Amino acid sequence: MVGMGTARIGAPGIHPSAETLEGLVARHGNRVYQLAYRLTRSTADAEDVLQDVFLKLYRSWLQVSTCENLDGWLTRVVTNACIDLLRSRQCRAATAAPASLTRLSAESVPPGRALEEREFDEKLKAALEELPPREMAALILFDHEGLKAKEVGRILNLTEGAVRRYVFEARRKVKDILTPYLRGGRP
Amino acid sequence: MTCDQFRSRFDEYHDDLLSPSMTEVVRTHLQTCAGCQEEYRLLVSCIGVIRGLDAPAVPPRALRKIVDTLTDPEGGAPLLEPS
Repeated sequence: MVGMGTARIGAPGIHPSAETLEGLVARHGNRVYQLAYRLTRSTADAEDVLQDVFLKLYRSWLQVSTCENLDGWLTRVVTNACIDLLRSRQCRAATAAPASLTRLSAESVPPGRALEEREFDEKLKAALEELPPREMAALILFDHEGLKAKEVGRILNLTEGAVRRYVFEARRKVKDILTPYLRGGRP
Repeated sequence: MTCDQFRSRFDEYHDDLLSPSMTEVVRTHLQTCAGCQEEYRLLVSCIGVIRGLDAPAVPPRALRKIVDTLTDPEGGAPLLEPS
């Protein structure tokens, strides 16, 4: 898994101390936010999930503080919070900024190329938004986060085989949408 | 095997899930079939795009808000005692 590393969480108790909580927020906040952003493609939703996850961590501290794998716990809670959110917003308009998935800043490329980049990123965003939430989560966790199919299965409550089917199907759908751009030598 | 049958195995080939003998069969086909080479390249490019998905850094105010909320939720009694 990318980024979080194994953490010594802190002393078990009903709730974490303020100091412990601040340390957890400092160590894991960015990672939680970025995963939530990749799953929701919305900064506002990522912030909401970030808040919810740490509130849940606070409330579940007795259980979480004795858990050996905080990274796994956070990934599972973030992912499931995002899936719930995506399901609930399927019928409302997306709020993410159009260029929010841009991998190169618009300022770093010539105007014509910047336009292509923006169009590509918008297509990519659209392709991801069209995926069913659990399929999209499987794709992000497996291909981006680098989790094993077994780990993704634990998070999504799927068998390894089902995770692979979800990932392969998601890849196919995204590839179909991006093919005109990928054929042109992009990226 | 037809090209469609080979293409249906590309994900497994990419993820190293095929048997050694099947891996070799797919590799050999890819060396000789331009159409499948292109399809496989598209798959690899697509996976590369997913791997490269960027995300903005968390705004510091969002981190501060978590601590503030848990130490003074909605202006009421703090959930956390100062340490």
